[in-house]
Amino acid sequence: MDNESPLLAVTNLAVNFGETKALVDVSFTIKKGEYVGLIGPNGAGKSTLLKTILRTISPQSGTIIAPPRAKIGYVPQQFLLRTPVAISVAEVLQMGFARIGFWQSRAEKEVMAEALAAVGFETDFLSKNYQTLSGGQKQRVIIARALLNNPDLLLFDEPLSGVDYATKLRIYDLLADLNQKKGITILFVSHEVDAVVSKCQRILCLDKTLHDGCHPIHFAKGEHVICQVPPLSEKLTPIHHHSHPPV
Amino acid sequence: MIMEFFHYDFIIRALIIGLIVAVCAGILGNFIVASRNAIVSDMLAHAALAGVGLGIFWNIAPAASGAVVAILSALLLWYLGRKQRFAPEATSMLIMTGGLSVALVFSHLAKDNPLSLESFLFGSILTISPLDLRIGFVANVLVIVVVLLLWNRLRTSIIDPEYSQSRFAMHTFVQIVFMVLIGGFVAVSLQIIGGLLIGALLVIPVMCAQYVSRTFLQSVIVSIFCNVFAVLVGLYLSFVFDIPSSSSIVLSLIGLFLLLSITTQPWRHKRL
Repeated sequence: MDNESPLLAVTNLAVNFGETKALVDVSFTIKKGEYVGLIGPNGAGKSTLLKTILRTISPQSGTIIAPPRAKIGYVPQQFLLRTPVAISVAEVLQMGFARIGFWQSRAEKEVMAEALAAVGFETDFLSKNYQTLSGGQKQRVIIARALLNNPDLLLFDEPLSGVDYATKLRIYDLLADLNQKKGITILFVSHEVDAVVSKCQRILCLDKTLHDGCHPIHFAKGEHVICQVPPLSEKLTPIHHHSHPPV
Repeated sequence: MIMEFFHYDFIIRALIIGLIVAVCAGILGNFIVASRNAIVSDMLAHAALAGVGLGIFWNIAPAASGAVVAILSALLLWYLGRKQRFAPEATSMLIMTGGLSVALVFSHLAKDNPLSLESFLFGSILTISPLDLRIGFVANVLVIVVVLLLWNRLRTSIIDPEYSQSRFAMHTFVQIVFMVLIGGFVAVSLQIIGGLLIGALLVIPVMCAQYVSRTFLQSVIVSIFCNVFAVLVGLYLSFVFDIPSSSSIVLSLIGLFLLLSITTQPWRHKRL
C-alpha cells in the first residue's frame, strides 16, 4: 500500500432513515497518512457517515472500499461509559482486544502499556478506576484503546466535546503526533471549525452531501452558495471526487 | 445451635443451591447493573411467573414452563429494545403486570393442583427436592460457564455498545445470549428466592461492591462475597427465628448495604 493509493474510497454513498435522507451521494477518498477533518452542522450526517464506514449502518446505495488488511480504529462521541459499575483503565482497554472470554494472555499487558505510553500515561495507570478520571484522561484512555490493534485509519467522532481547553490542545498535539510520527491516517469529525482548519490537512464539508471546494469558514456560516471561494490556507485543498480508482 | 443447623438434609440442600445461586447472581448482577437496565431481571421474573402459572394449570413442571416463557420474553424484550418503539419503562410495566396477572389467573383456575404459586412468588429454598437441587445446580453452573466464555465480549457489548457494534461481529449474538442467560437464571431461581425477590440478589450486592471496588472484576468478587454472606446469615436466621428464608436472605443483604453506606464512601465520590 503506497502513500498515494487511497486508504478509504467512499463512492456515491446514500443512507436513509425511513423517509429521512441522512446522506446523499457522498463520495471522497482518503490517502494513507492524511489528516482529514470533517465538519458540518448538527444533523448533517457526520456520525452517520462514520458509522456507515464502520459498517454499523447499512447504506441504501454506494460503496465503501478499504484495502483488505487495513485496520480501522474508532473513538466514539460518548467516551464517558456511563455505567454505574466500577471499571479499571485496564478493563476499558481490554475491550479493544479480540479476546472473547475471561482469561487474558500475558502479551495483553505489554500491548496495553504501549498504547498507554503513546497517549502519555505510565503503566501504573492501568489499575486506576476509569470512572474517577478527568474528562481529558478518559478521552486519552479511549484513544489508547483505539490504538491497541495498530490501526491504519483512526476515526474520531467529535471526541473533544465536554473537554476543557487545555486538555483539548494536548489531545490535538497527540493526534498530530500519531499522524506525523506513527503515520496513522486520521478522519476527525468536529463542529469546532477553527480547530479543524488549524490542525487538519484537508477538510470535508458535509451537510447530508459533500460541498466540494467550499471554504470551511463560509460553510460553517451556512453560506453554501459561495462554495467556490478559494481556501484561506494553502493546505486546504478542494476535494476531488473519484480521483482514485477503488482499491 | 450451629451444629444443629447443619444436621438437616433440607438445610444442606438449601445451602448448596443458595451458594451456587449467590455466586451466579453476583456475577450476572454486575453485567445487569452495568447495562443500566436492572429492572430487566424483575421483568423476566414476572414473565417466568406467568410460565409457572401455565405449568400449574397444565400440570407440567412449573420451573420448566417458567424457564421457557422467561427465555421467550427475554428474546421479545431484546427485539423491542432494538425497535425502541416504546419507552423502556412502559415495556417493563406491561411485561411485569401482564406476567403476574397471567400467573394469578392460571394458578387460580388450577385449584386442584397442590403446587402453589406463592412458593414461586416468595421462594421456598428449604423445600428444594434433591432433583430440583441437581437441576438448579447444573443450570447455574451453565450460566457461569457461558458468562466466563463470553466475558470480554459481553462486558464490551454491555458497557460500550456503540464501540462493540462498530468493532465486533458478535455484538448482536452476545446481547441475545445475555438476555437468555438472565431469563434462564431468574426462571431456575424462582423456587429458591422467589420471583418478587430475585432482583435483590442481582442488584443489592453490586450496590455494596460500589463502596469497596475500583475494577469490574473486584466488583464481581465483592458481589459474590456479599451474596454468600447473605445466604449463610439469612438461612441461619430463618432457621433460628422461624422466619421466611428468602426474606431473611434479602434483609441480610440490605443490612450489609446499610452497614457499608454508613462506614464507607462509594468510588463515585472519591478519586482512587
